Amino acid sequence: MNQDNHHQNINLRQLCIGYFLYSTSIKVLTLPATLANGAGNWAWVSAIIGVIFELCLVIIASMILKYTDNRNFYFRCLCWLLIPVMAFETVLTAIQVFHLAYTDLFTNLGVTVFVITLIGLGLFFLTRQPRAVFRAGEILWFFFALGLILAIIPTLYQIKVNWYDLVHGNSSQILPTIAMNLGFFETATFVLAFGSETRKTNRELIRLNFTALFCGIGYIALMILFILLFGSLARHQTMGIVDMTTAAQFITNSGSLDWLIATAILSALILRFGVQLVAMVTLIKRGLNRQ
Amino acid sequence: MAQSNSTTTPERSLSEPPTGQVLLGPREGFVESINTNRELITKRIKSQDLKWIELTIGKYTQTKVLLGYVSSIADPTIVKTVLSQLKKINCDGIIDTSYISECLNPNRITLYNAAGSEEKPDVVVARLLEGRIAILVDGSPVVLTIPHIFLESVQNSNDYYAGNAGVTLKRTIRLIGALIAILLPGFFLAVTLYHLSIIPLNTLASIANATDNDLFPPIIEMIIVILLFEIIYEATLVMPKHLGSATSIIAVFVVGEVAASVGLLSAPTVLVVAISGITSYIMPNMIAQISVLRFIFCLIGGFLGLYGLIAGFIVLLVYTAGIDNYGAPFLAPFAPYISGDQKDALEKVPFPEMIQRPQSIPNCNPIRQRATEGKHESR
Repeated sequence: MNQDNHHQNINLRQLCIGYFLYSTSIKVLTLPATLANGAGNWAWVSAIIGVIFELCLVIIASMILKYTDNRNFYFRCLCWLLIPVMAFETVLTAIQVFHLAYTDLFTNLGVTVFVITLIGLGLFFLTRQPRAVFRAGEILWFFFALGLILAIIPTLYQIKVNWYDLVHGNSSQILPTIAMNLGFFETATFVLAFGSETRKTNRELIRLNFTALFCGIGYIALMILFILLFGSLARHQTMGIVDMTTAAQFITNSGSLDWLIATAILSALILRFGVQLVAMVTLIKRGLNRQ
Repeated sequence: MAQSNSTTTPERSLSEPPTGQVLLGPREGFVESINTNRELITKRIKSQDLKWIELTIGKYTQTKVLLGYVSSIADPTIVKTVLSQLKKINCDGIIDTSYISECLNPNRITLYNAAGSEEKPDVVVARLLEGRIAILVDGSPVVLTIPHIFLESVQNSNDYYAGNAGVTLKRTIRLIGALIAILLPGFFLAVTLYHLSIIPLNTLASIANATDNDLFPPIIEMIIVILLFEIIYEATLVMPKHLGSATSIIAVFVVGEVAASVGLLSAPTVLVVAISGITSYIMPNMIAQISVLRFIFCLIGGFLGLYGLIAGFIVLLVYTAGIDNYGAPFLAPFAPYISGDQKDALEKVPFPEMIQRPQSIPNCNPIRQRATEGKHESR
């Protein structure tokens, strides 16, 4: 047999796409609004510092993966420490799914039906192997990226830039905003949970770090666009990309595309919910020293 | 080795199978005789590397089963696994290859078959040369090939015999057609029941006019139309050909025209099911799966709206992507994405450029083009 059937494992491409969906889905959805709510027009500075902070954590997580044995006692302790973080993040994602699916897609469902469906989804994801979820991500990322482009392009086309908003802000709120919104260690947890599934060569880890960097740059660009679009009104928005989409539709009067974008982002959010549940199980297995 | 039979048994002549018709290309199809079927393959693969393992399965039927593979291409681990699975079968009788197919499924309850079914020797030969294993059963004109992946349903013999022009478009259309067949009724229900604002105002007014005097609620109506469609399909399948066309005419005029005009069923619902029904035939190997999924997504769309439809689609995707039968990921080369195999996936490059065998199918000889094989051996 010429090949050791390497397609059975999670490969680096799947991991990078998974990371893109995992980190970007929730950030583009809510963080522009929540950061702007705290730091106002200087929310983009908060985003830059936050991304640098997360990049450092990703690099540290990569180093831990590179130089630590998965069966190491300290590594197992770290896994146990990260499980509550991931549980907290899962609850946040479930709330965002509720916000987008129940409120913005105006589905006339009872909350009970919604919650039961979400629990059903969660149980399904827990019975799947991580590779199945990551393979699904390989197909879904295209729709998510298309949704983002559809949301952003009309805005870019019509936007009247007010650069004054970007340089006028309240610097004292930058650090408290970061502390409030970017302290979840979620990207590092992701890398620690799934990074050891790949072969962990230097080249692979560097590619993973570059993916994190590009996701961060994309997110900062989106943040700047958000401020340019909404300016002083930014702090009054409740959702990031969804409001931007609505504004784009209003500005361009180009028809009802918002549901298409919302469904693409909802797909990424549901997949993120699944990835988090699978990550929790993986961390528990690592903690119990069961590979 | 197989023993030759001294008595002559009646045998159907070779003809083009109804499921694999081509505009240009070979028109031979398998018949019910296992020896003829083996001959049809061996006349195309004359190499000594083509191996046959004979088995007898069935306590009472003593059915002859042949397992064929090209020893220098097929993965020996897969051959061993399939052989051991076949040896485990202990039953009264094997009537058709479908019995074997069900026994070879690693999961007893599953939506997809672990083995592909084929009625044309040229296609089976092409699959053997990609590293698959063929299983022939005496009395069946269908040959199983293992491992089986989803891509086989997207590919068609015509793609290879009628030139490369438009193959990418045709395959993309087949894929989109399958998605429409599965999702359209559910999407229609979700939109008309929960998300009316998505529909442009003029279209909304037309739908409202057409569904104004509906006898049944939309979900019930959709289920009735889908069930009627399935009943007509089943009836047409088993009745004689000349009666089948009559049934189709009655179905079109009575169900399509009269039922809509008297207000029993609404025209948009009939139209949606008709489009979904027609597109479901775009992948003949997946008709049963598409029917089941269409019904499930219809219920999900009707009860949970777009949110449920998206969640259901992701569940389907994760479930399908997780299937690995005999070392081949079912959704390969899309998930996992295998760049080398994209040459004959949605797009199709000219044959001389397909230097390597598909990596999606485990094999022990990755090079398939003769010129390159020389280079490979000289290393």
